[in-house]
Amino acid sequence: MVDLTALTLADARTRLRARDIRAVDLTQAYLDAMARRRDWNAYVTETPEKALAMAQAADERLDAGEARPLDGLPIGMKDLFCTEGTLTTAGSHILDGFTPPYESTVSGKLWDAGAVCLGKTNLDEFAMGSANITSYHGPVTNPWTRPADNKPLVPGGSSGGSAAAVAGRLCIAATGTDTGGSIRQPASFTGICGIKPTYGRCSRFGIVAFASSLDQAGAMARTVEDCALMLEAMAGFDPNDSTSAEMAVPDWTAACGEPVAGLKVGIPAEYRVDGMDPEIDAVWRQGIDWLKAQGAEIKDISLPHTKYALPAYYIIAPAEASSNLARYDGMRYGLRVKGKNLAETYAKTRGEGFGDEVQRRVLIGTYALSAGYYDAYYLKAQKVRRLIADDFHKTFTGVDVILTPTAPSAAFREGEKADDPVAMYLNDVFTVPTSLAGLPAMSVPGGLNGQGLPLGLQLIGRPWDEATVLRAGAAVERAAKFDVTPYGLEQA
Amino acid sequence: MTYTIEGATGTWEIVCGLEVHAQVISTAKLFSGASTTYGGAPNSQVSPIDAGMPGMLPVVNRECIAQAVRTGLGLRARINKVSVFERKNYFYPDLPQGYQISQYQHPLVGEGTLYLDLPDGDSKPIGITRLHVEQDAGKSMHDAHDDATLIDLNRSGVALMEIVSEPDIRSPDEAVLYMRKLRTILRYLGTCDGNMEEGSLRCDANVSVRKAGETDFRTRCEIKNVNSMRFVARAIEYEAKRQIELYETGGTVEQETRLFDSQKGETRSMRSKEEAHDYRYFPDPDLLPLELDDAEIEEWRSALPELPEPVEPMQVSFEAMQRSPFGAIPALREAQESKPEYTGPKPDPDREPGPLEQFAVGSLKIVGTMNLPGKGWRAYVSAPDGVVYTVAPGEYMGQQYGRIEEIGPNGIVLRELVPRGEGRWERRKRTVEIKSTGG
Repeated sequence: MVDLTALTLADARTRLRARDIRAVDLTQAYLDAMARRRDWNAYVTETPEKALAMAQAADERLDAGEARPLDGLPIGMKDLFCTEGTLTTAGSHILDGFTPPYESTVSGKLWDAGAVCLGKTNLDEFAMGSANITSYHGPVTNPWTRPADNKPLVPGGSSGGSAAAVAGRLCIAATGTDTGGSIRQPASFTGICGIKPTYGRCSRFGIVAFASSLDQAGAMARTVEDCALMLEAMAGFDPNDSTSAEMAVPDWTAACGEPVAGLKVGIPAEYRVDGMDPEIDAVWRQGIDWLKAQGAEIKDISLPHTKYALPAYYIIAPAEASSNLARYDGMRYGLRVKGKNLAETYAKTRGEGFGDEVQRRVLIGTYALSAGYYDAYYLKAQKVRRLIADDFHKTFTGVDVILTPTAPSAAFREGEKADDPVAMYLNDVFTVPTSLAGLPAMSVPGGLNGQGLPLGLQLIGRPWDEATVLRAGAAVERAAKFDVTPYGLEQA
Repeated sequence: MTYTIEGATGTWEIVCGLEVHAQVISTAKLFSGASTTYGGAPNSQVSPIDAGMPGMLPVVNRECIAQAVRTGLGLRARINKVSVFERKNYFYPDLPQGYQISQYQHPLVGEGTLYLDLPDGDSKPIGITRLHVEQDAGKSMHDAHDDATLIDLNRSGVALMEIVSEPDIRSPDEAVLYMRKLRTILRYLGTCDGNMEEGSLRCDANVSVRKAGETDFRTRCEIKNVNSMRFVARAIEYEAKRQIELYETGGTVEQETRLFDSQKGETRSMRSKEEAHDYRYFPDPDLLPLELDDAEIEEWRSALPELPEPVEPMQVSFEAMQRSPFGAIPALREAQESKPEYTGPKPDPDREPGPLEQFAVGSLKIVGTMNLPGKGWRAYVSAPDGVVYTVAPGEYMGQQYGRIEEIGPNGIVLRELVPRGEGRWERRKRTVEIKSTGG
């Protein structure tokens, strides 16, 4: 008897089509696993009835030989995507009881492709965080532990619930959203793959907004090919999102199998930061060797404005968030805490409804946009953003893809960085420049550090060139031969 | 026809500009597919976008843009082929998103002219500063319920044109002629029904006065809610006389927003400049810059009904921009760069803001000034954070880039920079006196 939750998405897809396994059994196996591991808190809302009904319908189509691209594959949906008739929380108290009367474009496309909804995965509140500890619905636990002490670690964030669910076999794949690293950093922390496509690839319609010019949906799964299969179903032009691009969706799954001989891979000097963990550096060098061994050409490159990316990001993202979150005022939906008058109702609703990190960013953003400070902060940050994008554009005339570490550390314990917001922001140092430039990037597991925790490698591509990112990612994956199963799960 | 008011100290002249909000005739709202019919049952014409639901995104309704361009052509105005929607942020229950999508630095339509038909057969040109497109808010109904305000969002998201005139109007009668002519043009073009009773045409008046022969403008007040032809003249006349009386009795006019009370026929203070909202405008990241091509404009122009005088709009041409994830930023930059070089005053973005620039000038209190031997004048300013700051000439205070020009025994003279739109700025002198409020 095959362990259903150990199958990759691609493998399960083949077996479903061959009718070796049934979608209902696969779905039930995941629902059972979810019930066993509620202690990880990977899901905010589980939707077992909906899942089984969708699986049933998928089996009927599969039986009839009318298989859709992802028919019968059970996935987790980050709880930032609005789902019609299913509670959508964005990890916040302020959206208490909010059930959208509409479906986000990306989740709708996945259901149309036949994917089965297991539930809504936990996340940092409004996707603001890098450890999944700011959720109103409680922190998420990483399925990985350090074998030496076996104490719980954070899964990274903000797509921490999705990452933990994929790594811990509580879904076959999941959606994420990435504003400054929210897919790639948790993928690195949990030893899975995660891709953020080019800004404009996936529609933002129906995704609760954090920072509109940076937010982008993407896929998280246990293999590069699984990510490609998911992304093919998620991407595409949407007339409901003015920033979505009218571009055809290529065959990304095929790209995963193409060799990398002759591919020019850039290694940016600026990512070798002062005080860098030698183990991160080691896995990076290992990645370079792997690609070189497969015939890629390694080139040293420079992205001179990299060091300004994090400060610029922490102006632009909060500025947009301060405006995007203004609609949560207790008037129409979600939480309302009544005060003596209108101003007090606003203050109490938002004071109780938003957690500390969200309030911090709303304050920073409001300040950065205020009269007398707009030019010095927001406008200047936009200019920096332009310089960072220009760095990449110039570089991509000489290289095809860039290889860097995904995050400056492995997963940490909840208390280790939580008290210092700036230390937390530094988690995004390698992922934020790509987000500011709108480029596609993915994290692929590169190996384990000395404490036995996964470390990810990041591949960054030209705009709209997800194909090369996936192709190079698959090459790293083939060489790394990474065992994606967290300790203790092998025998499950 | 020169209109003047005789005061005790001499002859006065009115200086007035009008800001008109005209509801666009269109079947659907500016950024959603919802209907715009007037008089529907409350909240029956509301899409999730208009209600500010999570994750909802605006998409520009081209029909509304065409109507605004037609209006611009009718006003012989420059059509900007690139314009930018920005967010104007403030909280109010009838504003579901917590911001209004409007245009600020880069409006759809630039300078134009409207000709008044004077009774003596002459015509007088009134400059049009700009026309921009924005969302309307919903309606708050304060009287419908004993202890609650009810909100109707049917109007939320309906397209408005804000048409701003230059301060070229010199009498209450000219203001009425302006409104009549504008309404005629709008109705003629079929872009707004001009119905003031239903609120599809609304008017705010900026009024100041000056002595006959003066060339500079004095401080103006903005009069809100002037919503019939009859009230336009009455509100301006009342406000001008109020300001003249203030000047003649030794007072000063404070820049403020005033509300016209049509029952009493007078204006009363709504909020001072210090209480004015900081709207935190910034380009809406959900929308790309709005681009028009020549063929499109030509198509709209050729379908216009024949106007009394031929229309030759000036056009600014911008390089067409490729759509890319990096588009929003270069688009803005190019739009700024391809305009005739602006050489007037502007704030220096590289200057670090001073500690007193986080406060409105009105919230700052000068507790004293002193001429220090060998150093010169210093002022001691008490701020809302409880700290008393020492400032010297050349330093900055307030939220309008106020550079301290002079400190003396009576207070501080500031030179502020006030945005005039489209990246232009205006210098304004402002005196802050030591107040002996006894507190």
